[in-house]
Amino acid sequence: MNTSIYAKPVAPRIVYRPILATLVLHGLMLYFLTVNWTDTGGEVTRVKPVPRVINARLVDVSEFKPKPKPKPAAKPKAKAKPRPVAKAKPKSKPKPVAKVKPVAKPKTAVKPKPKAEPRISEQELAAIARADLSHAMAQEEQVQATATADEMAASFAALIQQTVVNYWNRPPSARNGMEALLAIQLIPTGEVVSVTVLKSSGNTAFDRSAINAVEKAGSFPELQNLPSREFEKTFRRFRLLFRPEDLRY
Amino acid sequence: MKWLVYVVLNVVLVLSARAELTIEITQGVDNPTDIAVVPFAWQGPGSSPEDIAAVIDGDLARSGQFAPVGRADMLGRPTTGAEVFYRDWRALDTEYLLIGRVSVAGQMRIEYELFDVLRQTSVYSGVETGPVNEARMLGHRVADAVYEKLTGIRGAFATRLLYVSVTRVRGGNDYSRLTLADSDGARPIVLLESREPVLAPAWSPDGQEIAYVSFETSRPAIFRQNLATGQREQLTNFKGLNGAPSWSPDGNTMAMVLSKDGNPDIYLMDLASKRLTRITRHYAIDTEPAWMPDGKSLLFTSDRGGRPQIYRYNLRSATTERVTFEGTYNARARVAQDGRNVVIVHQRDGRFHIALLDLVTNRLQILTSTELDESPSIAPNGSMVLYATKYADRGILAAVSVDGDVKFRLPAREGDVREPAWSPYMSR
Repeated sequence: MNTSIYAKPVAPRIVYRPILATLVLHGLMLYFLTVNWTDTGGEVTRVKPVPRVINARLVDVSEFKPKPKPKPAAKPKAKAKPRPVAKAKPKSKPKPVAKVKPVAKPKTAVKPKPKAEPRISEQELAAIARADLSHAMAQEEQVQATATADEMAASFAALIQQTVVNYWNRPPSARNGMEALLAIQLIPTGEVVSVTVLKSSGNTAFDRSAINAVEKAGSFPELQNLPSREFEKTFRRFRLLFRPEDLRY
Repeated sequence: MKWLVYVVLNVVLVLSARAELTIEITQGVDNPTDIAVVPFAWQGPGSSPEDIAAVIDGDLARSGQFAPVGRADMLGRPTTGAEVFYRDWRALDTEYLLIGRVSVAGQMRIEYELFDVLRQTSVYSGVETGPVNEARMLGHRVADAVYEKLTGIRGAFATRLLYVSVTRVRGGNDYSRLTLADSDGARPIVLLESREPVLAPAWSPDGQEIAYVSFETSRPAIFRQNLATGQREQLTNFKGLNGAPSWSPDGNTMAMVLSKDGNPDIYLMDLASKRLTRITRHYAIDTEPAWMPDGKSLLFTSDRGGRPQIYRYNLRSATTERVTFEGTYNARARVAQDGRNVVIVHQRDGRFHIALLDLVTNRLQILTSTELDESPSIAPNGSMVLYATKYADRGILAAVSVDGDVKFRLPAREGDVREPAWSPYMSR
């Protein structure tokens, strides 16, 4: 959107404006290149794809029953929250989440919505229908679109996670809480083209076991089913944090 | 002005690249690592005196951490880095590849190189040299280096075992033999042969000396013996029980059990002055002392609570505390070098098993499933536990990994084998 604004006033008489814009943009770029392009370990959004099952349970139909007058505009937002979309955002550590194997169908999260509506009185329903329905639907559609994209990303992340888990042979010197952060690069066929250590655990055997888990997995061909926009956005390059929690100590 | 659009796009991309997806891996499967140990090239006259690769292969397999590739499956037998074709090994799902060359010029010389097949790189290369008659020990050292490189834990293959074997003699006194062998049970050497019982072999912390109880003077006495010179010294000759010698980590003191003052109690002997200090004084039986690696306390077995349990004596505070509470029989503790894992004999449902006690969490884990398991001894790197058990009515030695996943029996020899003692790391 920004681009069109700048593209339009190509008026040749005002020369200083584009120059100013250029200066600002260059300054911005320089700033981002020097400051943010460096590895800011703490800023990483950590996605644990697993909690989708729990999310589905959170949206309980009974929760909506006692509420007497739900505001139609506010409702979809509140419902949208517990979805995985929201899960990806919080920067706080998603530690206490129980280790549950990801389940393929995330659709259950969507269901409770229509069920919640009939609880509202009929007059209100009609009012909503007349006044706000189209707006609500548009909003809902948008939420749903981003949700499915993110859900898809989450399920592919879960797939990568499970595959790597199945190939990870920890050395006996591995201890709970050790951390090795790897940068992974894929090509659209799902093939791993590069594995590099961003942050070593300090134990070379542990680091090697992590790298080899990815190398042994070799490729994630299922990613070919991902729209290329999503692939580029999320899986062209991503990170794997190896941090065992299930060892004896 | 198109370039301006690109600039803006670039900034947006730079911004978005920061929010990179991070997937956390918090579990693993921990299968043994696939490794191929290719027969080493022999670069001398005739044939090699020892199949070094087979020694290494066997060591790695017994550790349970590795699953060596069978020789028949190998698609090639490279002996130099230039001959390595990674795809041959990738096809076998091999993660690592070890190749080597053996030559003899007065001394035996083993050159070896370890490759990471997945990343197609050399991980490590090294050389071991030594006398030809120590060929197996050289092989164990190569296995130690490979093990340490790949597991992050020092290898304990180039170590020795002590054990007692008893040959029954009809109508006469049995033969007892104190035997020294490689960690894989190979190359047994008899150190002492007696028609009277020999018991409780123990190692000095430097691995140069041993101590044991022999009845050769017609009553039990503790001896110490230098392995290199064969020189022997009798340390005790007290009335009653003289037993269970245990060397302190600094090598200066020996803990032992004496009953000279009534019933069995734990004593410390200063090995230079031979002066004795009594550290337990109880009407119950106190026995089987074992030093903690820091030398500040000892574990021992006592039935002062009615049943045998493990207790800990703190040398500085001169206090005793009970360590085991699970079950009605816990005895004969041996402590790993980490000071955390303790192996004991634990009785459950009338069967005697080897169990691992974690001193930090106080969790007890039974490691063995046979029923007359005794005398556990832990490897210096804490990875394996050697113990005595019964198999086909004979006493044999067996080993189990500290996670309980890998078990194997040592090659059976004639007679009943008992009381194994795993050496510390051997200085070269």
